[in-house]
Amino acid sequence: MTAENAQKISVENRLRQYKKKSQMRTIWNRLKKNRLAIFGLALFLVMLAVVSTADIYYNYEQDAIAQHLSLRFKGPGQTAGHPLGTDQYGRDVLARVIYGGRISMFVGLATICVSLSLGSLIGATAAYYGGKVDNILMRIMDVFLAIPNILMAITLVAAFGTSLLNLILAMGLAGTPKMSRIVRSSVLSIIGTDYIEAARAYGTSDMRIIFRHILPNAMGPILVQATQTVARSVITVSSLSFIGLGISEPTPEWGAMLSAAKSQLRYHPYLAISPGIAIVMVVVSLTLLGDGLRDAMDPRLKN
Amino acid sequence: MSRYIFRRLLMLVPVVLGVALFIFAVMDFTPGDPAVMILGEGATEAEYAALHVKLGLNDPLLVRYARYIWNALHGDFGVSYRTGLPVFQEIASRLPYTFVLAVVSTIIAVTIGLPVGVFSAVKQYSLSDNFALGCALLLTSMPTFWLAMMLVLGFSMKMRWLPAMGVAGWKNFVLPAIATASSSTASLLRMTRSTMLEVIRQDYIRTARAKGAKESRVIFDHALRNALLPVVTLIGVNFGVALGGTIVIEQVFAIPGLGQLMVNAIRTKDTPMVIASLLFTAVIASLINLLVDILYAYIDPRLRAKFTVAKRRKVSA
Repeated sequence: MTAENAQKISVENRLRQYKKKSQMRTIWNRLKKNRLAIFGLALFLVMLAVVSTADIYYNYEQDAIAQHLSLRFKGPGQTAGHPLGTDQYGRDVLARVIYGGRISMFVGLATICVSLSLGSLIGATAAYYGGKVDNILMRIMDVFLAIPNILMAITLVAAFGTSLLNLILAMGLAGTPKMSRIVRSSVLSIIGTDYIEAARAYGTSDMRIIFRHILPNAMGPILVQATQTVARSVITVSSLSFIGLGISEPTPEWGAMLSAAKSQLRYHPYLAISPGIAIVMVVVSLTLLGDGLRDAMDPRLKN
Repeated sequence: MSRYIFRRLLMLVPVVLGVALFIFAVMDFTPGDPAVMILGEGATEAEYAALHVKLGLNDPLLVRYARYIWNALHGDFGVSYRTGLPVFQEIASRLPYTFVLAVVSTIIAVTIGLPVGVFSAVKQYSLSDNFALGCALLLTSMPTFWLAMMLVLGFSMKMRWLPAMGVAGWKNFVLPAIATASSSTASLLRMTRSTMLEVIRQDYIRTARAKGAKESRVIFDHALRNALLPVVTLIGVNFGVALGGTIVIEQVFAIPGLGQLMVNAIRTKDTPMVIASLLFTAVIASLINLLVDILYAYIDPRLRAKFTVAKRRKVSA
């Protein structure tokens, strides 16, 4: 009995070892060797950690929202406790940049959830069923692709109204057509393989084949596109806020902060620097990670 | 060739109709009653109802859509709720700014991104390649409006070389064009570099070198021509992005272009203006995309051949 158990365990172990050589594992091993990509990943994780623990060292209402008119326009380093200075209402710039990061990163990640789930559904359905379904779905996506991404987001925001949820929805929907194209082509490359044929012969349901067998294996290009989309979303949400169609004062958001800093540009330029650098840091980290992922998925491309 | 152009133009029709329907339907969700927008809050119920009938707002969505398209085909894009003037007139007066900005920035992007991308690929991993890639990474990671603000800070406020806002002369368009061009220059550079790297490793490049062709001929005639397809496609796509980007850039430089018109229209819920300005932008973006595709088919003998072969097959059948 124990011998039998031991044998079973050893078989399981061997299976586990075998499983460890999964696609994701090989990709991670390759990614680990790419210093720039790891730097991007680390930078992003650090920033994520900083913004998500902001409540420990800042008080949102007190530091980022409440106005302290006696402390207006203190430059960086002028007053103790305000390393990046204070803005036109005497609020701490660093606190606002950090809380702004919360919104940007949350919106970026939530947006990709929307476009990823919708795009996967549409793209995978189109590729899997092919023929008429594919044709109709992709022609509809073509229509949406004709509208530049930011215009699409602006349209949807105009219709839904500007709230955080609507912004996420608008940007997520705006990113869906591109995502569904990428999912479609990625799924198409998997669909002819033998194991899908085997699953079909076994009588597996279509939905199970799509979600259990196809999508996990088609994940590579989708993941690359996803990291890029998150980076783009961070820029888009700040652009929308900048032109006054996104998040507005007093909520700290990078685009809204830059919009406010625009009128102070001549005499208080430091207000325009730190939110911009914050955006660049997030986007650079994600772009490096995305590039690294792409190279890791397909080492042939790296040359 | 003309058949190809005709077919592509024909394919544009459903896209444009679809875009129009989408914008029309989405704008239908916009809260707010146009009658209240036009008459103000003070009018009576009967006056509102009368205007509803007059504007045809009680008809179903598709009926109104069909009427809109019919009128648009006759050059009538409706009347602005805010000013009472024809929408088309206003758009026509503002479109040139936006269009010129998008065109100039696309030209800048091509003249910088393409050669630097080729150079980067040829000198892969050299110091200048890394420098170019680093710059490209920074430029794509910057929101264009932030770059614009930094340019204003440097060149208008500190150096006082160029004006920070307005449309008084060509000098006013230098900074906006650079800012709009930044991200497409960077993406073009990256794309050119990566496709060039792929092509350079092909057998026919080795063959060309083996034949003793000059290096410049190998790079520009053999490699670049073959690497151009994805790059040219990206130029078309980037034009659309530039059109969208100018909307934000116009806010920084106070340029009275389509973008400002659109943003103001959205803020004041001037629906006819929003629909028409979005429609114009989308149509222009698609037309430029088409133009780029046609241009490419014209340049690339492979695409041309594909088309003539298809025609011949049809004749025999």
